[in-house]
Amino acid sequence: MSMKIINYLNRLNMNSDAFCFKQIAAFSILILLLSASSVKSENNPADIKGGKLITGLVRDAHTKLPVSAAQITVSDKSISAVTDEKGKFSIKIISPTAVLYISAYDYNLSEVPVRGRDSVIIELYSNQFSTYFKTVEGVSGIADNSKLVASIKSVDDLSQLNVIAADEVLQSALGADVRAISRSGVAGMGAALFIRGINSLNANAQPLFVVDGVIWANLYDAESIHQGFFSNPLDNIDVNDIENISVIKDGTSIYGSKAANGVILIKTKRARSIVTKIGLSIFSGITTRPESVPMMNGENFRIYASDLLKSKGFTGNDISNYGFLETDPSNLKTYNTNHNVTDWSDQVYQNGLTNSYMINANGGDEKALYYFSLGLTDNKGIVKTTGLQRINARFNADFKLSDAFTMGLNIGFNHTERTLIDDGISSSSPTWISLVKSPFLSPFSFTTNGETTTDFATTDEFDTGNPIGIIDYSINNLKKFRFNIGILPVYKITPDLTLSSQFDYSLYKTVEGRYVPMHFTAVRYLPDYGYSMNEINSQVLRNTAIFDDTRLTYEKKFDADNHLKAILGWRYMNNYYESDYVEEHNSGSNNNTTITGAYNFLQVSGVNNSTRSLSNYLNVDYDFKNRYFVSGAMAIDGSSRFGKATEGGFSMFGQSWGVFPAVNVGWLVSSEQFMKDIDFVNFCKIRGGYGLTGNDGISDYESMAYFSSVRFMNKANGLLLSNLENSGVQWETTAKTNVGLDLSLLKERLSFTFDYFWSNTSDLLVMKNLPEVSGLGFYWDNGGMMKNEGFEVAANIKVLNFKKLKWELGLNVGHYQNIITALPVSNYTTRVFEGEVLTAVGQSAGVFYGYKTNGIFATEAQAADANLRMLNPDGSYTQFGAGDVIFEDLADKDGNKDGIINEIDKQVIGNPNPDFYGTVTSNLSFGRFALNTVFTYSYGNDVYNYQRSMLEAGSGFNNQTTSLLRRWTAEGQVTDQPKAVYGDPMGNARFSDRWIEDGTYVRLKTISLSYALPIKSNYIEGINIWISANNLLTLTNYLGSDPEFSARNSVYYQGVDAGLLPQTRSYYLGVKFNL
Amino acid sequence: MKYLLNKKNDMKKFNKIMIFLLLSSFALTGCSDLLDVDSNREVFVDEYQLKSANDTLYSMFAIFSQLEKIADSYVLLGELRGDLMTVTDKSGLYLKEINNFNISANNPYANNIKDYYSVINNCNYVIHNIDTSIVKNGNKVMYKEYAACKAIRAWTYMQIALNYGSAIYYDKPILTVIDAENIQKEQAKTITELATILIEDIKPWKDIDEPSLGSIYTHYNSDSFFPIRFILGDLYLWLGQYENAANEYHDLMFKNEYIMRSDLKSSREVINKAFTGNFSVNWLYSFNSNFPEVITSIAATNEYGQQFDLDSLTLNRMIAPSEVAINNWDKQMYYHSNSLDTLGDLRKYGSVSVSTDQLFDINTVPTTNYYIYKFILMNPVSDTKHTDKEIMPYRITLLYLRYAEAVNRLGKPNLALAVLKNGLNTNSLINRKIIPQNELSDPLPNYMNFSDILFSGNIGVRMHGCGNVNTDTTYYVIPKLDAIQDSVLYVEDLIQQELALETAFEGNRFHDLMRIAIRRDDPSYLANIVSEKHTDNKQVIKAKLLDPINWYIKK
Repeated sequence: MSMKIINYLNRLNMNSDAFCFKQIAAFSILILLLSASSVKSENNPADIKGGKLITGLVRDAHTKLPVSAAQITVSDKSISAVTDEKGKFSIKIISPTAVLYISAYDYNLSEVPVRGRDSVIIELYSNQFSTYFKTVEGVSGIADNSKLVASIKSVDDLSQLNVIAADEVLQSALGADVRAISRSGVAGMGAALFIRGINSLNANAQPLFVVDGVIWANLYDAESIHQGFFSNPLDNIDVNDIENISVIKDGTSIYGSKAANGVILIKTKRARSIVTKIGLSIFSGITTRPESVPMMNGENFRIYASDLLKSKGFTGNDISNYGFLETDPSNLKTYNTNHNVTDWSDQVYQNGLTNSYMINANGGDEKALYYFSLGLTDNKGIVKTTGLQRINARFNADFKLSDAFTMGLNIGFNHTERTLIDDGISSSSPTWISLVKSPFLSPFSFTTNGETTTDFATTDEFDTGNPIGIIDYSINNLKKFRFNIGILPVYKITPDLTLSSQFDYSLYKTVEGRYVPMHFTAVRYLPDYGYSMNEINSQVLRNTAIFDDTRLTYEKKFDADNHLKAILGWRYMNNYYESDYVEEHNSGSNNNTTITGAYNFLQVSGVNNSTRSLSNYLNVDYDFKNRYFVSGAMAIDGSSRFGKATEGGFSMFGQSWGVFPAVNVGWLVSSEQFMKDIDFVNFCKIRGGYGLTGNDGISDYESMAYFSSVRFMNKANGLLLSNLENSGVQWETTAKTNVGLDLSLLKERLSFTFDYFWSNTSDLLVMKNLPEVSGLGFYWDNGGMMKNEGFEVAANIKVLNFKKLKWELGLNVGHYQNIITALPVSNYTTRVFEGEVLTAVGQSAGVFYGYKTNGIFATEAQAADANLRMLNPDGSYTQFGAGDVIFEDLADKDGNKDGIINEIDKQVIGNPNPDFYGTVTSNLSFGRFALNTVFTYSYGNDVYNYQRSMLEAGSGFNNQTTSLLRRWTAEGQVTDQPKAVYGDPMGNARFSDRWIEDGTYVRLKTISLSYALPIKSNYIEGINIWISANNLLTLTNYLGSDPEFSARNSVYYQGVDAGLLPQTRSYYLGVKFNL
Repeated sequence: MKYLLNKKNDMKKFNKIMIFLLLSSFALTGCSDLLDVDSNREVFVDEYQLKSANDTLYSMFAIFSQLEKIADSYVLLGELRGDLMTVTDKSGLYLKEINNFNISANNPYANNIKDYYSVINNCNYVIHNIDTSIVKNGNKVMYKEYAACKAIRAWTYMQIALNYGSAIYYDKPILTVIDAENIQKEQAKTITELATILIEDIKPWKDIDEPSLGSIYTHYNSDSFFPIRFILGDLYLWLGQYENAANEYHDLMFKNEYIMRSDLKSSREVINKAFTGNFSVNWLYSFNSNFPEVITSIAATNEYGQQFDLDSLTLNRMIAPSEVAINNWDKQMYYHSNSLDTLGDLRKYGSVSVSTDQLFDINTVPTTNYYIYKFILMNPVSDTKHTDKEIMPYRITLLYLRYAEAVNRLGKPNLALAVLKNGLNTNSLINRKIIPQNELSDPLPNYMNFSDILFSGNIGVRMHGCGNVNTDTTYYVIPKLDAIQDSVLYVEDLIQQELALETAFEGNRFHDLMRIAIRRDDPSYLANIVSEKHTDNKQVIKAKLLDPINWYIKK
């Protein structure tokens, strides 16, 4: 019924105020109908009134010994029973299809459907196993997992983690539900997150973060001035403060235009009882240095470099100017400078060290409950001088002001200071330089007598900097600060009706400073400016947000069979984001490291973005006979980012509003009476849902015409029309369909969750060319479609269940296929470093687009035969010769191969989307010992190894990998590595399948062993000691240093290895006290 | 229990609250500014209404900044397609494309038509919104900006129409995507159609003074404006309305006191009735922005990364003077006196050089490897921090040459020749040997009124580099021809040649040749001159240029 109305609403979307009011009317009717239906059922109470007494036995699943003092309740928790010492109980149930909830000390919760039986035998598993039967944070609050109809996964065991940011938990705990790709090996850098494929091309594709009910700005496009560094909002939360994390994959329409990429709910800890508890958690660990890719040694490099000089056309005299070819030891300085054996990675890397201390206390009295925590984290990075110090504090309190009125208070504070250094492929990145700097040079300079000094050597004759000079003189710091205060007044108007409001104010600020020193980095030519010796940058980011979510919650259990929960709410967000960036060059000295405005090439830029959005939403969960579940949601969203006359929305009050309805249904088959004799099925739930969500990741002010500041000469400011009004620009719409099955078999030994989903995103934001008369280049508009289809499977097997030895295995598999089905513009490519990514109808998002190669021409005759040519910049043609790469010449549309290697010969050469990804987990416990293992894997994803393309280009005076030893040097030589020619005139190193690799890997992500000390005293409740290791083993054919990386959050940058710091092995020791 | 007791009350309360919330929700959303946002960085249209002089200042600077973007195109399209500038083996594909009239769609010097429209649209915004009624010190102050924008707009339209064959005319600012799409569909207009519209548009404002915006570093912002009369003159020339053109050029000379100064002469040193080999190069001051030769310059600085590449293109030898250009100078007669002359126009020195930082010696005459030195002369400031750069679409000598072009076509070749040779001054006008009776009328037309003392020092254009050509009676004279029309054609050729000697590489060459060829209805006129510099494929280029369609860049 509700769906019909929703469809009706959709049909009404005709941008007319008259229709709007009809819509409001229809909306109200929907509310009325829903409440009418519940009233009706109140008048017709369920069939059984008197109830029925059933008996049962609760016993241990392994020993079959009775479990005494187990508590049994029915689903509304109103009737309860307790087992006697023989494990027996009897309980009166109203419905023959009731579900019994069993809880017992040291055991997992269990839910057993009565299915019309008179007696039941219930077997419980130790709480060392995981269980499906738990409560989960969903979109409408806490609910029993068994009753959820949306596809939600949650993780609530965050006890023994050695991570700094919450998103690092997601990968190991929810590996198939969230495709979390760690960004780099820098501590707390987090991960790029994709839920159910890729739901946007140009707007935000990262999920919505909701922390304690408050939507956080995810700053997905905030760029740091430190190369290779990402701002990660989730490292503002201490993982120890997190109670649970839920990933909501569908049924997210309550979040309207913000939830197309799924929702990650994070809930921080609160006190549950007045008993004071103190927890202390300490861990310490070391992170090892990365292993380098195999580079040529000094002598090989010397030969390579002199070959290159010859290819440059240099002869005798020119070459003798190069010091590295000095063969006469009597030329002391030159000879000694160029005859060293230096392992540059020693100069750059160190073993990292992480220490984390966290104390929390919770408790209170009848009036107030509080949770307080204070955490300190200190990290020394694996690159010298880098690291972070973090202080965080959290205060969550709940005040009971009267029986009807409570008030929650959340205060969070985080201060992080990082010392960074440029990472990735850059002339100021010590890690990169340590790879490409010639091993026969020394970090130190030499006197004319050939004696080594303690002064750092300056940029060498190959124009490569000195990594230790950079490390010593550069300044790369980041100070980050986040503060939020939230209040949550809750007023119970009647026992069923609650009015609550979640208000939150947050302030987030980062201050970054960067100085790239002179002498130790190569002089760079900045196009249009001039030569840069050194560089100073500074950036301040500020995000302030006011959030309010006011809702009326009506929850009513009419009788044993009818349960309704309805939420009507309004969510308002006011976000202000500012960034201010300044850059200057040529300060003249390594002592002048701050911005003065007096140096060269001053550049100033920034943004001031205000965003306001309002969502009116309704969510109705209806549960009939504990077996049939319906959940309907609808949001009506407006935003300052939307145009005033969008096609997909309706107009009201001069704004355009998007409507996002959803319905999810569930059927708990296992509670049905007909399942009475099907004993091997303990639990079976079928779920299905369909809903619309949106993505409002449009740039601010995109819909408005505005003027921006430009500079004329170097002094005057002008105001230039820089954007045209586009009243049609709107959210992207994603329609999500999901069917799911939750299954528990063989006395809960085996459980499965299976989800099949397909989603269709329409109104994709794409860049369109403006007509030339406008004088402007492009604008963002909606159009185009993309679909994702896939499944997620989670299997959990309790393999061994002995008294002491228990072993549980988990397998999680995720799969999706992403296809772009329509584009309003012609296919286009995006430049990604030296590569190119194609966006085309019929292809997945992010596919690599370049040349295919077929080896190397071994002989001139072979090359002449092929007669492949290339157009030179001056308009002439050059033939590919012996030692050049054989590029595939594609036929044009008339079927002719022209023999010219150019644009039209590019083709799709790889797809960064994996076929499968997920985790394999194993939890083995033996008495007080527990051994937990997590493997992560990805299968079938292609990688553009940008770093290798630079290390094997064979075109410049950077040191290269040992594969250059196989380079073509002589006529007839059959090899896979083309000749090395200075400047690579034939483009042998161009973006081609030479740089595309299979990124499949299996990684032993975490292995941890914990021991619970057998201490019981009045003061100490428990002590756990654990050791763990990360990234111990990685199986892959990938040639780069780490198969897992994420160059940027953008969809186009997936699967691109930009040579960021790899994740390395780390070892931790931790202890946790509960007092 | 407590709840039960209060149930009745609570229900009432509930109803009230429910109604309140429902109403408030929609009331909130009804509050239209709830979702309206502001920005400290961007200025929205409703906030930028040009009600004060400061506002228009911001718009003027924005428009100047957009003119910078078309400066390189103006020069390269104007010169590489002409006969004086050519490509080298170092030139990239795109420059070669221009040189060979084979311009591809992604040629950065030709695919920037939107930059022209950006100038136009920003001008439209000012024209449409400016409050011209504001009065300050008894003057309607805002008319200056209003008129200046109309002039810039007209000049820019002229460039689009001349380069691309046609332009879409609109006079209201495009502020929405829908407007942009609708206007794009309109029929484009040719230069003659446009000229008529533009003349009507700017003519009423030709007496309005230019705004005074001071100077930025060495750049006088007054140089950034295009005099309406100059543009009017050019438009009339394209329409063939020579008298109107001559009047506008004349009035501009008179009103702005634009004179042909005698101190811009380069000359050879003569001692004992012989050339010593030394020479002065005063003509170079023409390109010094401190010297009042410049009328309009488009300036930029690289401090903020503005692309302005002419100097680096020439330093990197990606563009070079053609052999034709060098020969032009070399074969001119330098006339000192009846008994002393030699070959070689001194304007070569400064137009080109063999060295990147100084002029070459007159005695070491090189034959190849010339740089275009003018582009370096036109960089007023260059220090470690930045280089300021300029191009000069309009300068005084060009004004005089355009005037000559107009009066020549009014059947006054001797008057036109006087501009080149003797100088437009009272002496020339009263001298019947210079201007014969048949070119005079009574009363004297306005455009021939040079009796003002202001013009008494005017010299001939050719005296900039060819010595005392005003006294020459041998070489630089109109031969006896059958008809006056033949004399007109003869002098028109001289003017065309003088433009090459004086204004080479400044960007006006191709359009000048186009205009003459159209006027003579003779495509071969342009084809012959341009193909002269092509050595390898002269016939191909010539054949191509015989079809005027190829004079325009395909969009």
